[in-house]
Amino acid sequence: MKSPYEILGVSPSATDDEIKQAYRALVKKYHPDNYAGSPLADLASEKMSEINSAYDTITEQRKRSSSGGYSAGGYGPASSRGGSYGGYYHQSSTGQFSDIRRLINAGRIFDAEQLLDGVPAASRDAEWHYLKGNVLLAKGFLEDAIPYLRRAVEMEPNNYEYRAAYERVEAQRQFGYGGRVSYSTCDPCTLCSTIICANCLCNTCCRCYCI
Amino acid sequence: MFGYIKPLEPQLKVCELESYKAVYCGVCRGLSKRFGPAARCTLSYDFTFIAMLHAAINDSAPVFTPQRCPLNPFKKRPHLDYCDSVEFSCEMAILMLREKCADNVADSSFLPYLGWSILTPVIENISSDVEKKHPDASRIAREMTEAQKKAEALGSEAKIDICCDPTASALGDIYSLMSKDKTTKRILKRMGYMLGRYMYLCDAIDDFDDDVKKNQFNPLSNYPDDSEFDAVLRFTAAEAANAYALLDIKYFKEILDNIMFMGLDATAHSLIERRKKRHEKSI
Repeated sequence: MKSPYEILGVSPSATDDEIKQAYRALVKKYHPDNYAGSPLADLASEKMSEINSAYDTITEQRKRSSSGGYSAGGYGPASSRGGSYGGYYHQSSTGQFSDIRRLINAGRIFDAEQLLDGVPAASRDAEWHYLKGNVLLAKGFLEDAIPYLRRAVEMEPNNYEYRAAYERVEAQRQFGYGGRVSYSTCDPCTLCSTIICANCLCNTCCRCYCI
Repeated sequence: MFGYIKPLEPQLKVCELESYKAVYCGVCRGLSKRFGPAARCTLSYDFTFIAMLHAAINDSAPVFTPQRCPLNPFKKRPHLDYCDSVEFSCEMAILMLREKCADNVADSSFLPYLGWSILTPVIENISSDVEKKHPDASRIAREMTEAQKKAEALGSEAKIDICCDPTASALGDIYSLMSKDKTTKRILKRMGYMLGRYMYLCDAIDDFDDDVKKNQFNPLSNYPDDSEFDAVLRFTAAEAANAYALLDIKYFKEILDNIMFMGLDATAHSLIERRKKRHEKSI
């Protein structure tokens, strides 16, 4: 079992600022947005909650042990976070393709693809396109996945789940590993994500995924 | 098709470069020990990377010993000692060489054909004992060559993802053999798939203009826009790096980070730039 300091990759004698810095760097690395649509998204979110609880443990410990009272600098206590992040797949598991989502989550990609291909053209909605894109990403067919993810966003521009996957893919094509989407444009579509982004900044970043 | 997975050297610290070289030398020595001195010729960056990754995710700490080497007999240089990691990478190198041989015999012109067909029985002989030890890996490698032939037979129908799939799947399966832990295997499989895809794509870009000139098959010739090649590569490298980031790395972290987060992109970029320069010259 790793100590919270080992998880954050800092020494127990590190200053509060160093710990915050290390924590932010890790959050940036394992942020769910970097793994949107990835078959490893569940592992990234596990890593994320491990990092969060390590950080919470350390700040709590230091708050208790320091006589002056450690200021958490805007981060809420663990309980106010409203439970850990659960991954994108779970968000709308009540849709018409919930069984296909379950197969994808279980890693049964070829079964999921077969079921998807059996859906008649008339009922292929935004979710179908999103899931088809996900299946292709999971198979490693990265280029084939793009048109499906794009189509899902076109059909349902306000769905955060679809946008996150498509924007992640486009950002990595453009900027490579760690590439981020720039939220500079201000059409109604990006507004939603801009608000989320602004919210991140208000919370001194990092924990925007809990909204 | 080998030699694309390497660090961005200027960004390595001197001590990191030293240990990278020591692993490289260790693999070279390992090849010679396992398969005879001639096997040293098969040394490549990719299998140095495999040895390093194998060592990084397993528990036993790597040990370095200063030793002389026939290529540099006057100065002792540190070598990674012969261990499971070195052995694994050497054995995989021979299996891949066997497939490269089979592939080259199938589609070379007369002179190289002669060379490769003389080599084939030798390599088959050496690799037969690896085949016994790693029947899975050997089967994976053979299937890869078969599937590759099928994909290429599609000709103008072959889309880029289908062409990459055989090599990528094979590498993914081989990478997943490095660990026994279920989650680690899953990450390694994804990472290996993406690195295999990356290697295949790099090779395709490198050969693109030659293949077009000679009217030979190239997986990228069906891709609509050649200015997009770098985006395809960047995305593939990023997916490999995303998987790598989830591994629990115990040794060589700085070097592996360098390769995965900087080296892949840098190599891809230099390939694209080289191609651009060739184009400018020809105009």
